[in-house]
Amino acid sequence: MEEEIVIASSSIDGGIGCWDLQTGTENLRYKSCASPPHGLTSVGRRFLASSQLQDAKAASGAILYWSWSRVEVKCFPEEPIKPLVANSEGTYLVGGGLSGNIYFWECGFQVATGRLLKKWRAHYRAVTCLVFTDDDSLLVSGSEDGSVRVWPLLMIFDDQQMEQASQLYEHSFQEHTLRVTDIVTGYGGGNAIIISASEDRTCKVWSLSKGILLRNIVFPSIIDSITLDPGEHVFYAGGRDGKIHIGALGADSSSIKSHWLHIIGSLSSHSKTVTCLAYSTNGNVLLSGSEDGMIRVWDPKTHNMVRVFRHAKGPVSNILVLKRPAYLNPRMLSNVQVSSRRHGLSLPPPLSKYINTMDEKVVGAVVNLQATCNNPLDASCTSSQVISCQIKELQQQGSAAAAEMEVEKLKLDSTQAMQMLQRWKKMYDNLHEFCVDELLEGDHVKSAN
Amino acid sequence: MATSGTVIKDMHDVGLKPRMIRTLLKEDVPDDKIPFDSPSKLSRIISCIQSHKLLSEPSITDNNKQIERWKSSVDDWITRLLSLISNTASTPDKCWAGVCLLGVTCQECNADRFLRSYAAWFDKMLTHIQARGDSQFVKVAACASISDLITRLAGFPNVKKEGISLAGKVIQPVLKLLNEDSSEAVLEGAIHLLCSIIASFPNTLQRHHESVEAAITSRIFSGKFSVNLMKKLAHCLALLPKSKGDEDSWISAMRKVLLLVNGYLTEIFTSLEEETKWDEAVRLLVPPGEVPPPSLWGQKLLEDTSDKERKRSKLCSISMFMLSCCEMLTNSYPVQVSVPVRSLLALIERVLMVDGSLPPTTSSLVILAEQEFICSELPVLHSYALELLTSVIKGIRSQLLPHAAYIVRLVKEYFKRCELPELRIKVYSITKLLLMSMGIGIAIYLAQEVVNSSIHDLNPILDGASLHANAKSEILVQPFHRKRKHGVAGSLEQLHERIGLEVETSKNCPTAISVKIAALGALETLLTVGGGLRSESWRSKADNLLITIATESCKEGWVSDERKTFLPNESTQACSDLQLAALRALLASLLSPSRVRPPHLAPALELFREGRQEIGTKVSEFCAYALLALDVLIHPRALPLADFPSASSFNEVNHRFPENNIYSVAQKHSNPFSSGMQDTGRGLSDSDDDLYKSWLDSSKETEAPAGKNMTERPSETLRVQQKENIPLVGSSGARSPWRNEHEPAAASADIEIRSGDEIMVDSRQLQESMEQHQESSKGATIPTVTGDPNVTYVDLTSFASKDSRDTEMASVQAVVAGESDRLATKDGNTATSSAQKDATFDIEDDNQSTDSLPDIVDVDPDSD
Repeated sequence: MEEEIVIASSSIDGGIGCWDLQTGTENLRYKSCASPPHGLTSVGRRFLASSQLQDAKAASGAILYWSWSRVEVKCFPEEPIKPLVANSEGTYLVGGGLSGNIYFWECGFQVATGRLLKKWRAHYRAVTCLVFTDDDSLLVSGSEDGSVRVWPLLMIFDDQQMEQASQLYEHSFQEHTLRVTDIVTGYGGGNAIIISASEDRTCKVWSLSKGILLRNIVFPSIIDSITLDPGEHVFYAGGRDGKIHIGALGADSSSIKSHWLHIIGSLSSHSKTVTCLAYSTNGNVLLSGSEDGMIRVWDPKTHNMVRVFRHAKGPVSNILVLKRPAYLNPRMLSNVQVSSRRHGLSLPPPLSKYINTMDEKVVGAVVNLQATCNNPLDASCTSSQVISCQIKELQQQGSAAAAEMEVEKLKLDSTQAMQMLQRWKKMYDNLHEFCVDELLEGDHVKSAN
Repeated sequence: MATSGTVIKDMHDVGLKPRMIRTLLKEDVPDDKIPFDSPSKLSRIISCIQSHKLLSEPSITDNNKQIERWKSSVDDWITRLLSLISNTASTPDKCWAGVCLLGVTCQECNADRFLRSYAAWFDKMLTHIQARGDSQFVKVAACASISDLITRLAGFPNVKKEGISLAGKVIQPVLKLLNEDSSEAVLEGAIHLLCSIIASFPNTLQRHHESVEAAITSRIFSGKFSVNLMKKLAHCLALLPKSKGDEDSWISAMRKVLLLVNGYLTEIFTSLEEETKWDEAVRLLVPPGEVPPPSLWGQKLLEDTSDKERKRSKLCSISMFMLSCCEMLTNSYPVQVSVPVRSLLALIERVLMVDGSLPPTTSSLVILAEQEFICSELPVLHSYALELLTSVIKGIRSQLLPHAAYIVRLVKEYFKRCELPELRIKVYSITKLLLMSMGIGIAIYLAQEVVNSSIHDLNPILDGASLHANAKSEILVQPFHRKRKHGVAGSLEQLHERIGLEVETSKNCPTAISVKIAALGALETLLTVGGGLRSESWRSKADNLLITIATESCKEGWVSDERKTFLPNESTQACSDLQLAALRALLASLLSPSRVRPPHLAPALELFREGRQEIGTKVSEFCAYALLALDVLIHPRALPLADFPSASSFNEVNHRFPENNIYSVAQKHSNPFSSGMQDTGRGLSDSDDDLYKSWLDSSKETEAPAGKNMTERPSETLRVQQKENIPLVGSSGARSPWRNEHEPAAASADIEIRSGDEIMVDSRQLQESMEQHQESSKGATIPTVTGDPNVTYVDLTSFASKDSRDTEMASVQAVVAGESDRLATKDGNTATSSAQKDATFDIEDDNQSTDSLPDIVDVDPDSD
């Protein structure tokens, strides 16, 4: 099992902390980061990207990138960006602006351009959260105006359709009356559920396929963050009352005794607001970040706290649980720089501010053509295969090459035979000579006698 | 022989191995005296060595005599081989045998020996590649053996330097082989050797990059080799940029290939397409401000020939260069590269959009001949263009997104026009790829197209007769029969296919089957990926089609795998493949989310059950899997995290039905059958617990629940129940501390009514299994009852003979009572059942305090 690391950021400048989930040791700390909720994302496990909280006066926002070797790149998009999300492969980075625009950057590799591929008007007011669905083909966005929208990315990039269609989104859920605070999507591609939390103290469960509200759950306090149980049996909702409420999805819940419909329990020990939640599938633990700067790790089976990380004085705004990148090994930490260079990872160029239509024609997609399996040799041993082919050829004796070899062999045979012949001949000659000599000698003797 | 005195224990005895080697050396391996009379001897030697691992002597250096013996015999073996190879007096066939066996030795011998002596072996074999007069057989064998040697050498990281220097020595002789007028077999061997050098020690080729590229391309341009060799050349060309390993060489190689293909196409497609295509290709490929080179690898990009042979060879080169592109896109590469997606897609579109039709203005005799020529070659071109599209999708993965809409349009457009089976299969597989790579987003776009085309291809009216006609003996009547049938549905078919069907009735069928398999595959993927979203318009059509196809294809029995061995007939194979594909698609249609129970569940289950009985076939394996997968559909479950409720403060766990309906939406709701035995059972047990409790509490609490039950049930049954249940509850109650006295009875009454309804609804389906349960409950109940066991038994049997509904009710009660008790007593189940009860009567703690908050809004999702 791969080790997992926990990465957390704060909404006041506390940097980014990074811990080993199993051992609890702190690995790295990136300086100077103040990210809003949903403003921290890992780009294909190669980089961390975070949007930055700015003064209200600043006209442009900022996005910071870190490689594992702590090199920092700063980019300045057109307007302040709050939520930031990358697709699972880390090829695209999506940000939601204060004006309600969504920005779609191509991102990631050393030769990439960081191009802004698309920008579209998504909401009337600021975008508060963004998530990709399971298969990365749909984007779900929530906004301050209370709407949750589902965007098919294909449609976004289809200029022809864009002109014809009256609206770009697949679904637009308007039932929330106040700001949407968090969205999660469930398992199962098109059949997934979407859960959204809002400041109107409800969490709503939507069906992606039907586009309808499945369940409305009213909570005793405002829910700022939600996360799903991997089996979608329940979901966890972190409230401003400091409790993590457990909402029923597939689990049994009854309206009879509970005043709070579909709420089947809670975990609590936070004194302050729960600001963010994450679920580690590997260790099967629930992580919660709180306003007091602590990250608590819970065992969802026993509802006990199993570990606490202290991050910052200010509220924790984001928690990510990632598989440890191979080159981020505690023992190698000193030479992270070297190893990351060896892995061909340098930082991406800053994200561009505007769509550039010119270079779209020439620049292609930057692709990492890495072998999918780790077998360095795609050539396997073939000599026995070649031999069996050749044997077949020889047995059929049809081919020119086989014939050639046969001829060679015969030639050699014939030379040998010739030599033999010569030898025999010589022998014969000798014998002959001998006999003649004998005869002559005999005659001689006879005549002499 | 040295070991002749010892006794061999068994076939795994170590002492056996040296003996076997010596016997081989004495009897089979040729030398000066032993003649090499039959080549099949060689294959026997090789198989003997490989299967017994004769050369893999262990490298432990203790004084084990047997291992010493083994070593010395391997020494002898190698001495013999080397003498065979280097002896000039030996005949070429013996020399060839020596080279072959040395190649096998390179793979088989242990690492120590290999590292000690690979250099010597290499030199010996290299002489045979270099030697002018050697037999081709020897050369090919030497190439193969050296390539194996290099491949193995690359596995040892500590001899990298030596490996590079060795590989460097080979390159010149190999280049000579490539440039000489060698035979195809030698070329193939040389190419293979080159490929393994690139794979193992890419840096060696750096200096020779240009000359190798020139040699390979000139061979491709010549176009006079077999397709197999041409493909190998294209493969090698695609590997070449690896020798430099930087981004630029990959891009420039890709650019050159694309320019060349585009240039050649411009000439071949003259008067069949717009004139602007070449300029457009150049604009996409050549950076602004530069001009495209007039020629590449000594070939002019744009030239005008009317020579048919020249054109044919150009077409062949185009195909091979496209193949090379494919390889470049899908092979791994050490650094990231920028793929010119747009020009690749433009090229694909350019090829696919040419269908041989002339623009209406031009028409002359010369062009007619030209057109005929192009039309005859177009399918191959299209096929390679589709191959290229496949590789583009595979290669650039998620970054395809900005181009996905373009590709979808292209595929849709091509689907409409594509008629040849081979091409249709490819389009289907591209559709599958697209669906898999982009998921639900692309399914919305492609669904309609996929469904329409598969309906077109899978039209069951046509198949009914034709499908098995071919698989069985070809009776003369069948074609006529089919033709007649065909006439009925002829309007659906394209003219082209109709002609094909009538002209060659017997031959058309297998290809049609393969198209069907491809269509079923695409449909399966569509249902897998996008069955849920916006599928209303096509879903029922697809479901109907799939059940029809599956029943049709399985109607005439199961094509068993065994028959294949006796009848190595393509059609049998295809038929069983079709069955498999149909069943797979059928399973997808059942499992894909839908609002109501899959309408064809019952017949499909029947099919799977039948199929499972064909033991030993793929179909049966799949059917077993399908039945397992469908189990979740029939018994839906939302499982808690291992022991969720037991240690938790969860407030109530009860009342399952209304909840579950939301998430396992339609199946449960509309289908009492599929709501499942276990669920029903549990629901009943819950309500029964309430019932018992109300009885227990009847002294303090109101009689309301019992009264309600009285009105519903004959008092006799109730009495029986009470008689039986009270002791039961007493026994289980002692074990489980869930008696919570202030439980409102009204609530349980409410549930009681509900479960009563459930029982009524479910009664028919339940009846059968209830009887089984009853059997088991008797066994379970009797030992736990604290009263007289015989009384209970008698009661059970007595009310089992009442009228039907009452019997069921009663037996359900009895069963559940027995079951819950059994559950509680069994160790493994104690946790779940008692936890459930536990949770049921725990009182809400924290949430009670906040009564002032807004009202509960419960939206019933199933109300629409």
